[in-house]
Amino acid sequence: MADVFSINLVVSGIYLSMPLILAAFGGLLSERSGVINMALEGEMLFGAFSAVAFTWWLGSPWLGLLAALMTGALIGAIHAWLSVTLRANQIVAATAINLIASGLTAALIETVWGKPGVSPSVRKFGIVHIPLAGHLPFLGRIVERLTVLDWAGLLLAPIVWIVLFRTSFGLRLRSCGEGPEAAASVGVAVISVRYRAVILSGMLAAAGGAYLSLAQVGVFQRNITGGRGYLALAAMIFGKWRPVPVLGACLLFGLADAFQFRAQVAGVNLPHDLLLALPYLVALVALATFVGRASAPAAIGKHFIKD
Amino acid sequence: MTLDAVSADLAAGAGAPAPAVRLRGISKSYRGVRANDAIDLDLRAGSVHGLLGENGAGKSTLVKILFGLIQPDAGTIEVAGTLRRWRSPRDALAAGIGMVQQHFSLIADFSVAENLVLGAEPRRHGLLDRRRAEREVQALADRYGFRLDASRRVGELAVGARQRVEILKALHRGASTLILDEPTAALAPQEVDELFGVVAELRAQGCTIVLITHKLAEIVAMCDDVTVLRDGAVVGERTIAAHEREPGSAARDALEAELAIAMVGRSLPDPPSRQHSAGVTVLELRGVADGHGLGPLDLVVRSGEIVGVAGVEGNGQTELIEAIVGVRRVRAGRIELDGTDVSRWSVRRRLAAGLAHIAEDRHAGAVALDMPLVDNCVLGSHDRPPFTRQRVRLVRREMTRFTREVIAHHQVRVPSLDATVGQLSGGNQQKLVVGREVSRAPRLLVAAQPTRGLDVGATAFVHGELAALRAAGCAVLLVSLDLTEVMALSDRIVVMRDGAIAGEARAEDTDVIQLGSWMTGAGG
Repeated sequence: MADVFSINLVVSGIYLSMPLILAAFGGLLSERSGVINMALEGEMLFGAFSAVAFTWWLGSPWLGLLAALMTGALIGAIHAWLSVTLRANQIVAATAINLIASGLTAALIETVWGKPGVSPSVRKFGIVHIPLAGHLPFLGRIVERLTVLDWAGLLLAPIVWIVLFRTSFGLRLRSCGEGPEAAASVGVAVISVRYRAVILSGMLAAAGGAYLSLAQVGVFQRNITGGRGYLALAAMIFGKWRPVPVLGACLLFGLADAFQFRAQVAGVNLPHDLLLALPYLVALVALATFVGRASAPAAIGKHFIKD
Repeated sequence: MTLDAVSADLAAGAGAPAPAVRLRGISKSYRGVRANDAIDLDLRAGSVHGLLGENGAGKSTLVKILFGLIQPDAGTIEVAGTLRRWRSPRDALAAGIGMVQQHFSLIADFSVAENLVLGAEPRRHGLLDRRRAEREVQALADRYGFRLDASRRVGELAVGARQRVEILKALHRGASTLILDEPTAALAPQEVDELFGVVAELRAQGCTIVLITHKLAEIVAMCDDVTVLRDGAVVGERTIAAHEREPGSAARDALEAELAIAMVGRSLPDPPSRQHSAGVTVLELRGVADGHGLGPLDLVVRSGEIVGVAGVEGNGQTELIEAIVGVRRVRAGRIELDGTDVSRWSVRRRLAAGLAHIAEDRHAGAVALDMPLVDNCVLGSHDRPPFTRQRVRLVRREMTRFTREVIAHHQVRVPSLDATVGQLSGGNQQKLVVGREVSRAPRLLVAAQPTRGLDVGATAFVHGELAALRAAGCAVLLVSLDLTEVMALSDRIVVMRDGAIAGEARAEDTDVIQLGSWMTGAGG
């Protein structure tokens, strides 16, 4: 049991929460602008696939990441077009994206690599070496094992916080989520702001997917995300749409995931399936016990009709 | 500042410069109904101009045209001598015309300052300069003597303060002519006084104000000029002289009578007379609390009396109604109907025991808009004879008969018996609901905002119905935001604040000032 709780648990907790963080912050941007983003799962899948496909094709994980971001932007744009311009039911539109993502990426594995189920291995992101960091007590052991994407994810919380609460773009974005009519009446271009938010959201979710495939395992396999997009959504709701609590929720779910991995390795005497379900159970309990009123953006899911 | 002190202030500075705004021949029709019919209106710069009229008289349409929210079919708008045409409210604002609407356009989650700067934010090093925003907004508030803290979240502010934010927002965006649409509708008496102080201050600083209301006293107290609208046309226009504001004077009474007749087209009926024959206790609440914002509170309503519940919106009235009707779970205390504890009963059982309910929001709580009149008319009694036989079979003939009866007795104007409720005007929908509930011959009627959206005539009719129910020995709980209504009808008045009873008095032993102080928690 002592093996289960160690510094490695924290490190792998951070690794495992990183895709959640990237996607959850994507979701946060979209929902703060008033558009429900259930499509995180599909956007992650598309991101994970393009990251591996382009890395395999072009040989550089950086180009793979870039391709993932562009794919995410494209899917986000489609999502925005459906949800904002066509004013489709946002849940249904997102579900369609998720179903297409799941089917299309699975089919493309065979088209691109000629065999079903899993891609060949590609180059992964390397660890960022920070001089002397390894000598820091405790933190050093974590820091010396982080990749570029880990750093990006950890910096995302303060960046998103600053954007949302300390820039005029953020103020306008939030105004679209809280009172689109009021915002429009003072000249905020609600539709354009929502488009930008949903596209950014797709890019971040795709980055989360790229992290899964490119930083963690170096391959793409069908449904590699395994519901992590929904987990990210749960973290965002549990964090009440606020950046710091959302970060905390992601780390909590990541730690739960890390715990179940290590518990399996250490041979803890619990059914395998139960352990696998642990992060989802934690999310379920978190959401069920979650008490809070009026924390969601007031106009979330409400279509805006320009007059 | 009291209402009368303000009016004295206003009377002192009545000058007459050229019109700031001149409307000529404004007409607007909606599906064949003339909402505005060749209306002329002159607003003198620096004056307070009252627009008086009943619901549906065309006041709102007129100011929406002035503010660019809707386009007129015909007519011209002149601002400071120049002919103007608005494509949107933004054009109107650019010309200095701002509007404070009944439904506020503020974002509750934002601070006062954030609400004001949204759309034109001060920036510093690419970031939002919140300190500068707050400083500027605070300075503006102070300049007009508004009691406001620019850094407070709007959602935490009282209704009156929110309204000041709304006014400030228009000023911040450069408005010098301000349209206030029914500004006192949701305010407590003290807040009304404060608003009037604000209006006086704005006027003193050179703003032109358009005050829309259907309350005579406000027009007489506040306005330099008044225009009366009826059925979309101007039916009266005059300047109000200082001596006509004198409270209790013959001149004031004459003016009010003149305006009332112009507004309604006839004299107003006298309010129903009171009687003091309260009988047995019908409804009794003891220590009722919902574990959230409501209670604990005690309340008794006897047969043959109307108990009025007054209070500023959002002080637990809705929760109280829900608890009595049975859609809100009560965590503590007892709700007794004719001596039986009904607090665990379902709504249906309570209805069967003699409860009737005029819902606060008729669309959410009383009618299904897309359903036919007949179906709506039996909602609530649909599962009982004579409408249902053998517990399952609906008897359409009885339903239709009953509907005809309700429509006839309660003067509901309907296009046909097959119409859906959505095809009725708001006032007729409300009359249908009132008629339906009254016809159930209840032991207890919970009437929440029974006259919301009704014109003066229909309001008097509903008031008459409530009084008739009282005379028939029914217990009536009247919940209303309109203090005048509560005072005119009730035998006893209770005031709610923060979910509890802040004060209770017999109607003849109390006055606006006492009720107002209970409503706001200020002073005595």
